[in-house]
Amino acid sequence: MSNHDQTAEHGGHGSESSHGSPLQYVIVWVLLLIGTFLTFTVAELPRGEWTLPIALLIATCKGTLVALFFMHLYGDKGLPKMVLLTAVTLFVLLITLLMTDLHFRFPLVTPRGVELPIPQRVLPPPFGPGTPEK
Amino acid sequence: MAAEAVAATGHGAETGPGHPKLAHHYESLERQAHANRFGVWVFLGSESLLFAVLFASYAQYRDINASAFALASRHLNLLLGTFNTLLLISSSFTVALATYYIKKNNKKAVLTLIAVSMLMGIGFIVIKGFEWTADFNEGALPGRFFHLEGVPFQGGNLFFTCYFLLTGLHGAHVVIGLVLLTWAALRVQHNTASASYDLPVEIAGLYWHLVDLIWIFLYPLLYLV
Repeated sequence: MSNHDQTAEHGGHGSESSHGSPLQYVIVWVLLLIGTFLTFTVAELPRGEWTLPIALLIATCKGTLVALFFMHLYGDKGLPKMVLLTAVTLFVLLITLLMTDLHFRFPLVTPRGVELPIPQRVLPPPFGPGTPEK
Repeated sequence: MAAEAVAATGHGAETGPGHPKLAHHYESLERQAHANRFGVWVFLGSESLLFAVLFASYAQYRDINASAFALASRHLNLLLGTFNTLLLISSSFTVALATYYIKKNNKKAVLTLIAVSMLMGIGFIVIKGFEWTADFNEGALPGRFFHLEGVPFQGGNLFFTCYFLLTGLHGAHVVIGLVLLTWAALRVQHNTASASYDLPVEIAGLYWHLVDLIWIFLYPLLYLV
């Protein structure tokens, strides 16, 4: 009986903790604003090879904050996490395979406009111009 | 008969059998809410994969035309893009607060917060409209219609093809999100959504957060190449 009560209480606590408090939302919002400001600063600096990776890193942090706290994934024990994980895994697979293919594939086709020398084949007799055996 | 049984046992009327919002195949409102939430998440997962394919094509085209993409990206209005990011982030924040206050049964706060979020969402669409108009006028168009000065046709047209596909699809999602928020607000207004049944607000909220989440990634990809 007491065991049953405990689980019920625990379950109730779990669903409570998966939903944030206004203070938590305010903190996340301020962090998101800071992230946006940082991205804007990066954009104003002279742009180089690292501009986009840094901006995407900030975006990933911001996206994680939104998913964890605004979408209540933090402390959530259910299946939604699995859905997100599946989507992210498929996306990473897609990008990795695509980029690997793009950078490491050797040219499989003849470029347009290039004439390849085609060797002339001499067919053996009785199809070609060979001399028949005696 | 079922209602009598519930009345006789004296419990379960709160969230169990007999609740007007409970479908017969669920044993309690909590179970139903879990199933509904999971369903919404599966939908959001497939939505994000729809965008993932566009992100992948963007990545491939950018890889092939890096310098043209950088030039074309500088043509976009960074200030407006940043302001739009702030709008969506803040509207996501107010929607998160609305999902908190619906659990506290604070109807007035929920309606105000949803209205503020919707105003920011409409602001986003209006600003995007101004950006698009400027793009159209300057010839920053997709595919063979592209004729923007100072940006090579090869690559530049691909950037704007990706740009219009991504922002167009995202804009459509903002509009759908606005419709969902209106629906949730009407449900709250007519007391068909409250602390004991907050699903409409939660669904609309989750969808709105996804719209925000996608924009968080679009912002650097389009404005910061």
